[in-house]
Amino acid sequence: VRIERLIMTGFGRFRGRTLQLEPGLNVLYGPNEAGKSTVQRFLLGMLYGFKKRGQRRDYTEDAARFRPWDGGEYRGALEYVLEGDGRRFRVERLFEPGRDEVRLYDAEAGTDLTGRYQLDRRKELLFAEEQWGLDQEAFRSTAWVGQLGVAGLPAGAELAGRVANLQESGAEELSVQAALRYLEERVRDIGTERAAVKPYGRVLRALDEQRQVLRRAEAAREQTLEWEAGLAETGGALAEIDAELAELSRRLAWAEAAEAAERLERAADEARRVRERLGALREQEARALAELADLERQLGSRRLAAEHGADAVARLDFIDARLAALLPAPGGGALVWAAVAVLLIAAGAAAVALGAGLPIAGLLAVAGLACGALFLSARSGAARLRRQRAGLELEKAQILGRLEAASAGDIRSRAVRYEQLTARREGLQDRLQQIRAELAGLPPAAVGPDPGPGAAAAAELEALRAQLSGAAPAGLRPGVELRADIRRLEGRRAGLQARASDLSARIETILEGLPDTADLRRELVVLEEEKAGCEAELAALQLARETIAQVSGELHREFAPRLNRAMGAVVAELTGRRYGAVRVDESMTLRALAAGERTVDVFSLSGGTVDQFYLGLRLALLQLVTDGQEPVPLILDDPFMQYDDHRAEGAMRYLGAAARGQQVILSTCHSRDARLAEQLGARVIHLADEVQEASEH
Amino acid sequence: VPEVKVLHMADMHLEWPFAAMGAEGAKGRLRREELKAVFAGIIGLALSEAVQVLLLAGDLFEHAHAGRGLMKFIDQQFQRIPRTRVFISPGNHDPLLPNSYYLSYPWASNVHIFGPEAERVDLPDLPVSVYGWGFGAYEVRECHLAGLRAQDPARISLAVVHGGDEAYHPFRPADLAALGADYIALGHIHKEGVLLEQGGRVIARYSGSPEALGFGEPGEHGVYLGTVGKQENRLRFVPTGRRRYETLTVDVTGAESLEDVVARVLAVDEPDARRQHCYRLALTGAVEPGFSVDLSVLAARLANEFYFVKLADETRPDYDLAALARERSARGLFVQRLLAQEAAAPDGAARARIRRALTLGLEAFGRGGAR
Repeated sequence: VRIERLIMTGFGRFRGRTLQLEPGLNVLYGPNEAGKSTVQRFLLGMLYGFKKRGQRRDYTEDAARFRPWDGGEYRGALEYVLEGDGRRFRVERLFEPGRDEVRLYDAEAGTDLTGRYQLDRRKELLFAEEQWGLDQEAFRSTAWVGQLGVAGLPAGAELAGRVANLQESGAEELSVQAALRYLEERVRDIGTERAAVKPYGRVLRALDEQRQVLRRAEAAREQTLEWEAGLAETGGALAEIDAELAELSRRLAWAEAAEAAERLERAADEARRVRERLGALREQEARALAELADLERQLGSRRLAAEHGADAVARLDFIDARLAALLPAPGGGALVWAAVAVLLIAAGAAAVALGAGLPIAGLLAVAGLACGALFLSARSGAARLRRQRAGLELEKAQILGRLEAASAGDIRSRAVRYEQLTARREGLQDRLQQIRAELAGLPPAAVGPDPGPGAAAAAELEALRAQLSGAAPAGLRPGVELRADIRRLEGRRAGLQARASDLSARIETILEGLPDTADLRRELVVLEEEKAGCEAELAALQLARETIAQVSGELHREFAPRLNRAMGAVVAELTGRRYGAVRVDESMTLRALAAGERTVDVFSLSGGTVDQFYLGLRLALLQLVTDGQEPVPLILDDPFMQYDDHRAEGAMRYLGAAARGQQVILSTCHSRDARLAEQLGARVIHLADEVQEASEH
Repeated sequence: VPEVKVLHMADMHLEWPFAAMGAEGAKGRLRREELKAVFAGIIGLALSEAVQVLLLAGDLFEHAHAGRGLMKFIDQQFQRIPRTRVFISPGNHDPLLPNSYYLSYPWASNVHIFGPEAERVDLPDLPVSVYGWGFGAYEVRECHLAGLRAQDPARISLAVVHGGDEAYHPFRPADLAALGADYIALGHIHKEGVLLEQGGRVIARYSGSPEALGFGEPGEHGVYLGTVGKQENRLRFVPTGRRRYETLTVDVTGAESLEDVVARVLAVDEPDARRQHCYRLALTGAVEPGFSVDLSVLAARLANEFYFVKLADETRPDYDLAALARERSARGLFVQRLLAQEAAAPDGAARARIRRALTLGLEAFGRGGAR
């Protein structure tokens, strides 16, 4: 490639400034602030633009720094020739950030070739990459040497990778570094676990939240299931209790029937007992009544003696005493006996009369008359005596006859008996009264007809049994116990029912607010798939990155010996053969082997020497990279600043020699360098003159 | 000749989450409703066919998601067929855990639920014995078939059991043969298939899931219906599935626009089928590097053309990998390395990762520009 013209329509200090370059060595000479670095940056900007790497709307600081000082249009053009086929191209670029635009033309035919080249992700036209065979990074690492050449070098491995690529793949704008950067951007797009706004972090967080939501929902569900199980268990227990209660009730009914039957039996026994008593009492009553009647009869026959006995006995005793005093002569007695006989007959007649109801007084009067007659017949003393005795005898007989007693003793004993019978009668009357009181106190039912022992009870028991279901339970327990059991069970049942309704209420409440775990699970799976997708993409990106890093490392190892050789040659030239052998390790540390001496770390050498080495590295890299392709112009901005005269001369000679194969554009503020260049036949452009020259046009 | 009319079903998975429906939550919930409708349809079949024994070989519902409302629904279905004896052997998705609705719900009297103790139930009115065993835990790693051996050769012996793989009640066809059963209704594998055949008579089979639950279950789904006797079993497959799950590839090689891709996608099936079934479509083929279809745009474009479609982009940029691998460059080496890795990849996932890394790397090297 050979640059022919730089047309700085508006760029930094330049307005409408054109620089015409020649093949070979071109030197831009001017004092500080003349715009040498501006020209360098212009070249870079024309070829690659000022967008930051990978950013579509972000510009490097150069974009602002080289805005035209006069505020006019920010643009320029560049014309170059591809020496391989001699075609001329013209690039036109508007630098204004946000409106920046680049177009490529066939400089001779004027054809717009812009559409023939790819745009990258930043919408930057990749013409230089294709035509010059270098992307911006490679260009800046090799052909374009800024003022701080050493600092401008990228890190070793990165450079090695890039250089390796450039070297091996020729014109293709392949760049390991760009590829790795692109992959890193893709990784960044997905984000890390910590980047909450990026997809991966977002999905992780969402997944975490979803898991918690699901866990809570599942816990609530588990709880519901427990309650459901509890409810079912309670229901089972209730059913058991109900069954038990039913059995107990049945037993109770049987027990109550049995107890009722027992009561009936007892009542029947009692009734039987009362009836027996009643019978006994009635019998006693009848006996007492009969005895009483008998007593009355006995008393009747003894009443006379009892009522008159005492007087009669007293009179009889008097009569007996008188009679004893009137004890008759013998014979006289005959009269007495006759009187007695009369009296006896009279008495007998009286007794008959009494039995026949004839008045005793009449009889006694008849007997007395008879005795009087007897008395009159015995008119003498004896007769009188006899008459007296007979009277007494008669009276006595009359009294005895009246009382139907044989003797006074008889009367006396009869009175005693009467007393006895009376007492007996009173006793019997008391007894009768007692019997009648007891009878009155007996239950009236007992008075009815007797149904026979236990018949009613048995009938009633049968009726009760007819009402009972099932077979009679074995081992009847008392109703009291059964009722206690029932009460106890009913208490338990009430407790279980309370628990059941509590559980039901809880289930109802929680079911209303229960999340749909199936749906939550589905959402979780969706998030898991999303996460897996992110991770698969990250894994693929990681694999791509690792593989690229690995192969670029390998390429470096392959490439390093060649770089070492090329660099050794360049450094020998630059250092006037003081250093010949150079080693670049994988981390791009340079080790130099001074002629016949030991190996040294380049950084232990003087600043000027270090610069020389790194210039050598760049030049060697460029050689290797562009080997067999279109050579790329070398663009150097005051590269010999730190060099002593000797070194500067050596370096200039080297560049002069190199310029035979490729265009070299070197800017300097040192007259020494300008002079050296002129001696080597270079075109020296005095920047201040050019300004005037341009303004003259 | 005594025989019994049997309906064999399994793996209904009521309240299945239908994660296959992805972010389409309402559709997932609708699928759950459809699943219930399919179950009700099977009960209707049992009713119209006067089925005597309904053998439900596990995973009737998702224990993790089912609620009392679902139990009520299931029980109502069983109540529709009071003359059918229903035998359920719980599976690994509806194990007979202490808090299972199998235990807590008051099931209809025609339902018998087997548990982790093998059990035999004799039908009172038929010379039929039903042997069953059910999961008591989510995982069962030993075989419990020994308890299901037919005990009365005079009776028709039916067995119902769930499982058949390592963590889920392992057994082999030989274990099934040892039962001496006339028919063994199996559940667990969602694809119908015979496990034991004796002299042309199918003794043990999986009925498969009556409705496909996701893309892992392609094809027709249904139940088995027919008679079991001492000599002959005549059961036929009755399709019950409403929506099929189809996994297909769509070659979009050469497609240059969204509509090109749409046309090829629509060609996968008839419009009626597309609007009924679920499709998982992988776009394949070589496309221009840099050409890609935005799947969300494509999905929106297809919304009215498919009942459900899940799209994956498996197209690969049209690189000549063999040529690239010969290139003496970092890119060439990169391609060479990954192709070698791909050839040695242990599984599909690794292969997919390597393929993707290859695409990403080439994209990175060429940023879509290189050929």
